[in-house]
Amino acid sequence: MAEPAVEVSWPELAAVVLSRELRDGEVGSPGGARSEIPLAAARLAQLTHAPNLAVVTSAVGYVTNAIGKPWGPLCQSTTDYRNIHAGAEAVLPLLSVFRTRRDWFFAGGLQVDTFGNLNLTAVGDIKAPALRGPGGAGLAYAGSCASRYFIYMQQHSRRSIVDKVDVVTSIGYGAGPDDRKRLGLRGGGPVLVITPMALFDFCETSCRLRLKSIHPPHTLEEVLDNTAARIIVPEAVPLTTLPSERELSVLRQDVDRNGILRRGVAGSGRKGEADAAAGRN
Amino acid sequence: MDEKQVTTRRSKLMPVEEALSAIRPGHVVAIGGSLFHNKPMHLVREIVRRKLKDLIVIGVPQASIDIDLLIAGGCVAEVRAPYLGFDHLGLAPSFRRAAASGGVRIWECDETQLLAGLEASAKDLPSGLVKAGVGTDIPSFNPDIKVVSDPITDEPVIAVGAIRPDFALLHAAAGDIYGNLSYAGYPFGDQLIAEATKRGGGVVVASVDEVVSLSFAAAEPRRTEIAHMLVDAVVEAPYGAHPCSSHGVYQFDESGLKSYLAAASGNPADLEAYMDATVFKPCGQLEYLDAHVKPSTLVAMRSAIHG
Repeated sequence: MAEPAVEVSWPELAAVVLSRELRDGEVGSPGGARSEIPLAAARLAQLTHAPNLAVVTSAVGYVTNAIGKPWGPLCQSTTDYRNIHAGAEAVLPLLSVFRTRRDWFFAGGLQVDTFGNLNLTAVGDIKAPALRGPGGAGLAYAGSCASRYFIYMQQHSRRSIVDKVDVVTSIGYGAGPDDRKRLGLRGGGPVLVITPMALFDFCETSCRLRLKSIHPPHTLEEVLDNTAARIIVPEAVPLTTLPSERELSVLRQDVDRNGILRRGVAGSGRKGEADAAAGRN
Repeated sequence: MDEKQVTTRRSKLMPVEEALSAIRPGHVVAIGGSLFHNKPMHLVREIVRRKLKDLIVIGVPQASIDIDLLIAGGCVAEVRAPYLGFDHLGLAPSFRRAAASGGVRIWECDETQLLAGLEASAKDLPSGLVKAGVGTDIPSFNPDIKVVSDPITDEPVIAVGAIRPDFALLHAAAGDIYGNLSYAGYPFGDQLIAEATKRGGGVVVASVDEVVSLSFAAAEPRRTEIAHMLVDAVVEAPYGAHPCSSHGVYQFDESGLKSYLAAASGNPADLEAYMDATVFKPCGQLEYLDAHVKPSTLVAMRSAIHG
């Protein structure tokens, strides 16, 4: 594959890859520890291929659409007034936020496991945790009701991509294929996991994490070395499709004009553990 | 009838000391706003200043410096917050420390579960039902959150016991002396918190950036999010949410949040100095502002609202 003409940061790549997953006419909510990534993905989707996509800002019921609106800055905190005010067309009361259908959600965590279960509560013994997380916010709700959801992890390490999470804050596929149905959970569960190294989906029959593509310049060996979860590795794993010229130009000119997705890339500029731990919905 | 005839409407405007005079150790205190927005920090600092102990604090739906400062002040026995952290600024240092040492109990929950518990109280029901949390570990850590069979269909659901706060602490952009509150941005869960608290027999205290005349609510009653009969006390506190935002009025002061984070993450002497300077020394909100917030910061907080 040809080298990209311009360097693309991991948050930019994640925003573009995730925006491709969002379809016209859907209703969804960005969330997670670096909520500017899913927020950018949603605005990019609205401005490229999903003009009828409704974004409900999580835990704050502003219903927004970027089409035909003056540009508003992309800010780091989901509930930042500037974020939720940009492109807002309606405001739902808090309880309506939890009564509104969601085609998708975004989620992050301290740990994700091979069945897509997420831990935002604590790493280690819950009574005296090595790392106390902030709590799941509305993650259990998102995980049980959204048609599908996307998980993004700011760290790709053996501590964060594990075989079994220490605490199930939000259920993915539980212990395997039948659990969601048995428990009567409404949504379909997690569909993708994106990390700074790779993209995963879930096997249709076993519900296990499956390597889907690797972000250049990372390698298969690197991904496997940094993954503690037992995952499915297909015979041929392609490289992640990099942003097209159009995707990147809309992202940089009409969504992230202030360049926050190019700042503080996980693993280089920011304090890893604390950032990953700030994971929230 | 030997009752004295009342001819004038009673003002609920009062000093913070009076508004919070009935809080006692062990009380359940619900704090409104979310994350670092609409947090009644002036009221929170008063509780720390009084060194109240053993409170059960609720952050609905999310908490940051409000509960973390109460933990730092030694006021908290139990935390009930679906999220307690500083979002893009990192973890809550005092909470993290207290959790690791067992210094506070943690009532593990999801947002919808906590909201269901408050809704149950507001509706005067013993419990509320939600689906969120089925299949998770949360019920195994929290006896107030139980997996039960739905009585109609038998499917597994979660029941949350009614939560009846003794006190609710809110911050609104504006209020009149009778307790009508209006918000410039999002009111988050404040209305539900007020309903749950009043219905359960508790006391609702609101700080407001601005006390406005009654004609304000009368002219535009649809802008009153919380009606006066849900409010017991109004405390005038300009920039009373600082260093948090008053949603739609002023932005949060990121440097102010960071100076707390630095103090609480450092050695105990740093935290002690911070608490002394911001909580124990200032006599009232205006002195707090004079000592800790430059006028240029206040201007920047206002103008940041509009991008």
